[in-house]
Amino acid sequence: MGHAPNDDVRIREAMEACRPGTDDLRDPDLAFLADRMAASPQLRGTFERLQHWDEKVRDVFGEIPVPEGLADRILAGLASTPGAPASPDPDEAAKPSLAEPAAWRASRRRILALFGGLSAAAAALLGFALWPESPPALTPADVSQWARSQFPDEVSQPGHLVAENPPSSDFPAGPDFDLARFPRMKWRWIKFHGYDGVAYDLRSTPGRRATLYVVRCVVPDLPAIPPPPEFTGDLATGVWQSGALLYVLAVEGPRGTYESLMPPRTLT
Amino acid sequence: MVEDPTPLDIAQVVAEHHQAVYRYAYRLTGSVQDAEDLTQQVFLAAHQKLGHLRSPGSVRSWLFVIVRNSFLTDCQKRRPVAVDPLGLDMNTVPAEIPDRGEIDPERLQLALDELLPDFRVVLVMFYFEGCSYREIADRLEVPIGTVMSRLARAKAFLRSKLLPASSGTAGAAHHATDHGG
Repeated sequence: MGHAPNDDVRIREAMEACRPGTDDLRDPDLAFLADRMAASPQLRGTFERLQHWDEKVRDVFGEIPVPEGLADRILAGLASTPGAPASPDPDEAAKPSLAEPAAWRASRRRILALFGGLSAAAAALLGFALWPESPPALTPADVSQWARSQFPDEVSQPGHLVAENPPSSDFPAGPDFDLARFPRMKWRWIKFHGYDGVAYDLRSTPGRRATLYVVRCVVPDLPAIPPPPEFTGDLATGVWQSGALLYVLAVEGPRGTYESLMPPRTLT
Repeated sequence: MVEDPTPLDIAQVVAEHHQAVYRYAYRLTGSVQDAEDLTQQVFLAAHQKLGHLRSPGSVRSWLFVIVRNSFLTDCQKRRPVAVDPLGLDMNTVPAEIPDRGEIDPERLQLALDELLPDFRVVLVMFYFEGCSYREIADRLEVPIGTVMSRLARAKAFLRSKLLPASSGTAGAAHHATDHGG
């Protein structure tokens, strides 16, 4: 096209990034392409052919026959699988979701803040704390087992970016997992045997998952510092108790991956 | 104050979205059986997590996220994936665009099947979901430059497979199949 090789690649990648029938060329990062095309009818011609081609491919992409009776088989499969509630859990419904309208979220935040304030005041007046409590008859092994059962499902979970919409300070990830290390860290609400908690998605690169669970409850006989991990298959888990907070770190991959997130440490 | 939206009903979600989810799954997996299994898996996950979703308008994109993530997770379990296998040869923009009927859907799928999962996902998000390169980067949590590079390479590869040699596609196919970087 008569440009330097790197420039050529940049132009071609920009052309390929423009969707047919959109105003993608107005994207600030693609604006240079419009300038180049204004100066080169040949480039403009190539771009228009590419858009035309993409339009046809896009149409063919959706032309897939759907097997007969698929919806019925899906519903039958769901009916034979125990578990899911038919309607949202009222506790969960009170918690924010990325998908919900901003106005609703803001309005509910105010209500929750009001209730939160009243609850704290009531607890202070009564002179006792409502939590943490100890789940009955739970052992450290139960906690690890719970984390291993949670972890596989998380690939489908939506979450909130901590940088944009942080969780309650009642569930801190702690200094080892701050935003400087994990700028794309996400969080979501969880329940652990009826106790509220937060799961932090620590994934820093695609394909390698790690989750830190923070739950406000006390499980007896847990170490006060992160212990060496236990391995089950490809999943490493570490469980510890820091004051009123239960921490579980679950990391996919070998020991080195776990230790890159949580180096071994000893009490000083 | 905005009132809570009506809770979603899984039967309604299945009725409204199972075709789109299946088609998405088919383009990713390339097999009727795998696509149906993946679709079933997606609605099972959706059923269990439906209470977390508040906005009915976002159901489809939420389901697509589950499709993508489930597919990529399955791929990781099956085999290791090489990095960036496609050479970039953009000399595949045809001089003449064939009619839509000349694009063979089966050849399209075969070409998709040859792509590594990371490239296939980007292509399906672009053509099937209609995502911009920025949306793809954001949803996959990969740099924009990576998305643009994958998109350009994968699209050029697709053209090299779908267009007759006389349309000016020579030179692209060997880059796509030698996995040489």
